This record gives sequence, structure tokens and C-alpha cells, in this order.
Amino acid sequence: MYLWKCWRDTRSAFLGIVACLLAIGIFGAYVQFDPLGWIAARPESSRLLWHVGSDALGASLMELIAVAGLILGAMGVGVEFERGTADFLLTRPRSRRSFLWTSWCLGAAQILTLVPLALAANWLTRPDLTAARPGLFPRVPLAMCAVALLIYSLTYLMTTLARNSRNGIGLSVAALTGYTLLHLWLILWHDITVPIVWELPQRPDRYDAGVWFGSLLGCLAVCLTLMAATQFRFERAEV
Amino acid sequence: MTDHAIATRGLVKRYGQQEAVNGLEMRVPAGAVYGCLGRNGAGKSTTIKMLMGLARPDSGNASVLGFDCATQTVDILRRVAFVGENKTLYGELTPEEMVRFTRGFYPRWSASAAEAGARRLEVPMRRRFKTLSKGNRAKVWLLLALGQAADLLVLDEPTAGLDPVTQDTVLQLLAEGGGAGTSTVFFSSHDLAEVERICDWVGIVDAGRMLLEARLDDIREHYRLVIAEGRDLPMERAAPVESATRRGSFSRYLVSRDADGFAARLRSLGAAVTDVTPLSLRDVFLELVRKEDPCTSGNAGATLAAPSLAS
Repeated sequence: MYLWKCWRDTRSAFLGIVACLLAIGIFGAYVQFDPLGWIAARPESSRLLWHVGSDALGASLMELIAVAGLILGAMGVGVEFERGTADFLLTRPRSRRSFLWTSWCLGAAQILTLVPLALAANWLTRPDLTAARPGLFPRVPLAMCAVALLIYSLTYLMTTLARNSRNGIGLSVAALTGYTLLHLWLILWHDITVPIVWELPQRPDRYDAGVWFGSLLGCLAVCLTLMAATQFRFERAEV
Repeated sequence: MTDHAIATRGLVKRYGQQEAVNGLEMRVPAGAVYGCLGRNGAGKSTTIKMLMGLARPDSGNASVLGFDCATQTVDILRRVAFVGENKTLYGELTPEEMVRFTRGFYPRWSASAAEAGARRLEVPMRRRFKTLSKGNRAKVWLLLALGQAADLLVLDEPTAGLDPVTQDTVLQLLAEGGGAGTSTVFFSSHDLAEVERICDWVGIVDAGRMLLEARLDDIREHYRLVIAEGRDLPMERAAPVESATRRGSFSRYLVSRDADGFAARLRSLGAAVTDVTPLSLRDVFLELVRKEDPCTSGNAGATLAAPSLAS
């Protein structure tokens, strides 16, 4: 039953993101295949604008998935404290960890549904790019899933710690920004390479397969560590 | 099931420097309708939270239906229905959907009790929770508790915010034991009249401590206020003295039994006993929690010296 309630809570956000991805895919397909010949009939500058728009949307799909991770992570079990429903939920005869993992699994399943949709939309907006780099499969989908799950789990933890969805998103964005800045500082000033995260899906062919898969597994291990921390905090939370 | 539906021993809960519950000793007999009375901030809600596993005690222990609150929370929650202080539920769900959601957790769910409760409480089952009034929200909580067919019903100020008619219905439901096989009812309240109306046991809590725990009939029949004038009268709280306060040369004793014998003992110490009065629950409550002269008050926090008067 709790799964049903989690679905009730998250379905608007999930379906909204699905609608965005479908809209981008349809727009990309329209620009790419121009079935009615409207774009071809336009002047060169206008045609270019349509293609730039389509490419830009296609390039922003990973960011859209990251936003989905932030939104769905902020709708986890930590939000029960913000809504004032924690005392109701936590007095139902189930272990707290069962609520936590039910909610997390649903969100993870939604993320894993969004990634193939995003990739399909990406293929529709930039089929030439995908065709030029056939070796990207299955690295790109795997990496997108891992990074989205990482952002989702981080936001889930922060929302549970802050007991508030907006603060959870804020803390998560701050942590991600901090990590990126640390990454840049270490590379540029000290020539130290920290584990890659963002480049996992964006430049999968840049790294040796061993390093890349190691990073992927590391990313998933961090997700599980974040969720273990969330469970530790949630099981001890007082209302 | 044990003799006591709820038992706490030396229960302590601190929030920073403040002790919300301070060594609470409570025994709720199985089968009783027990009213926990206390002023705002007395520690009633914190105690209930600890019983329901929503807060952890800093020391002491508590058991509900024989299960330890610290380690067997899920076992307790299977058998106990709870109505919280904060009557918030999922805003997007209707009471009908809340019933469907909640019944999935309880194999013993009684659809007939829930339906009867919904009818008697006149709960609007198809309106979203967020559109309901405060009173209707409280009714939904109660309805969900009634359907659980629990052994014990724990309610934190269940009638707060309800109109008099609904209050009356709720009290009737509680007096009937919540229906569907619920045998013990424990609820907290400020309202002395409602406690007096339906409870057979009462506990008076102040500053996180149990000041008095007794059958309501015993309070009515045996409790007396003894007022005596005299010097150096003993102020210890020891049976049968529940509280002792001094105002000027007058000492006031709340005595739980044998008031005449106690008055005779005071006279033997040279006191002039001016009054021996029967008490209502309201009088007992005020006598226990009022702190007009805390320096000489014999209730909360007094040292329990050897009972010089009781022997």
C-alpha cells in the first residue's frame, strides 16, 4: 500500500518529466525528418535556428535527468516530516527501513524508466551524432543511470537530513557544486584526478574501459552508501 | 496480555537542558479507560510519543501490552491504534482512500467498525483531506484508529478542536472502548469534564512526573482535603498524603484515604484541623498542580522522607 501512496505522490512529477522528454523527442523528430517539408522551405538562417534549437534540447537531456533525480529525491520519505505526516506513517506496523526502501525503489525505477526515454529523445534530436559514435552503447545508458541514481540518492539523503524538500534540494545542489569545484581545483592546481562522475555519460570513450567501469561501480557504491546513511538517520529520527 | 496495558519505569526524556519527562512511573491497567491529565508542557505528548516509538527515552523503560517500546515497536504498532496530537494526513487523499491505504497494514482491520465510525462521526469520505476542517481531520484520524480493531487505543487530545456534538460522539465511542474488540483506552486531555465523564482511571502528570494515579471512584469516595492550622506540621508526601502545601500558618493536605484518622494524627501533633472536605477531580487536579508556594509545596519534586504521619 505504501508503494501505491509513493506512486500517488510522485506520479505528477514523473509524468511531467515524461511529457517533457516526449515533447523534446517529437520536436527533434520533426526537425530531423521534416515530414511536411516546412523547415526545408524556410530560409537558411531560419533552418539553422531550428537545428540549433533541436541540438541544444538534445544536449540538455542529461541535465533534465539530473533535475528529475533532484525532484524525485526531494519527494522521498524525508518529506513526511515536512508535511507533518511522519507520526501517522511511523505508527503503522512496518519497519522504518521498509518505508525507506519502498519509496527509494519506486523513485529509482522511475529514474531507470526516464533514462531510456531520454536516450530515445536524444537519438531523435541528434541521430547523426549517435551514428558517428556507435561504441557509446551501452556505456551512455549505464552511465546516465548511475549518475541520475547518484543525484537522486544524494537528494534523498539531504531531504531526510533537512526534513524539508526545498532544503534537501538546496543542500544536494550545494554538495554537487562543491564536489565539482573541488574536482576542478584539484585537477587545475594540483594535477590530482578525483573519481570522474559527470564525465561518465558525457565522454565515455575518453577513458580506458577499466577506469570507466571502475568509476561506474564506484558511483553505484556511493549511491548505496548514501542510502545506508539515509537509513541510519531515518531509523533514529524522532518526531 | 499482561496486567498492565502500559507500564513505564523511571522514564526520562530531555530536549537540550529541558526535561520534558522526568522519571515518569505509570501503570495503565488492562481493560481500563485511562485519562492522562496535565497542563500544557506537562509531558503527556512526549510520553505518548515514546510509547509509540516516535521518540526515544534518555533513560528508563516503557512497555506496551508487554512489549518493550525501545526494541519491539512494530509488535506494539500491530496491536495499538494511535491518534496523534498533530491531526495531519495526506492532503491529496480522501478519507476513503486513507481507509484503503491504512487497512493494508492491519490483517485484523474491521471494515464494519470503520463504516460504523464513519457514519457516527459523519466523516465526509469523498473530500480531499486538505479541504477538511480541523474537526473533520480529527475525525478521520479517529476513524482510522477505530478500524484497526486494536487491543489498545492511544489518543493524544482526541477531542481538541471538535464541536460539542462531535466531542460527545467521540467520548461515547471511547467509553464503548472504541468498538471492534478494543479493550483498553488511554488518552491525554486538558479537559477535566470529559475525563470525569468516561474514565475509570486517571493519571495526573506535571513537569514530567506522575503526581497521582488512581481509580476515579477512589478519588470521589476517599480523597479529602484536610486543612490544619499549626506550627511545624510535617510536609512530607508519604501515604496517605498525596500532596502537602503551606500557606501562612495553614497547611493543606490532599489525603487519599482515612482522612479522619489523618486529621486525628494532626490533632495529636497540636494542630487545629479546620476542614476535611471531599474533592472532585477538578479540586484534586488543582491541588496537585497549583504551585502558589513552591518553597513549601510537598508535591512535584519533594523528597520522600520517612512517612512520619503514616505510621
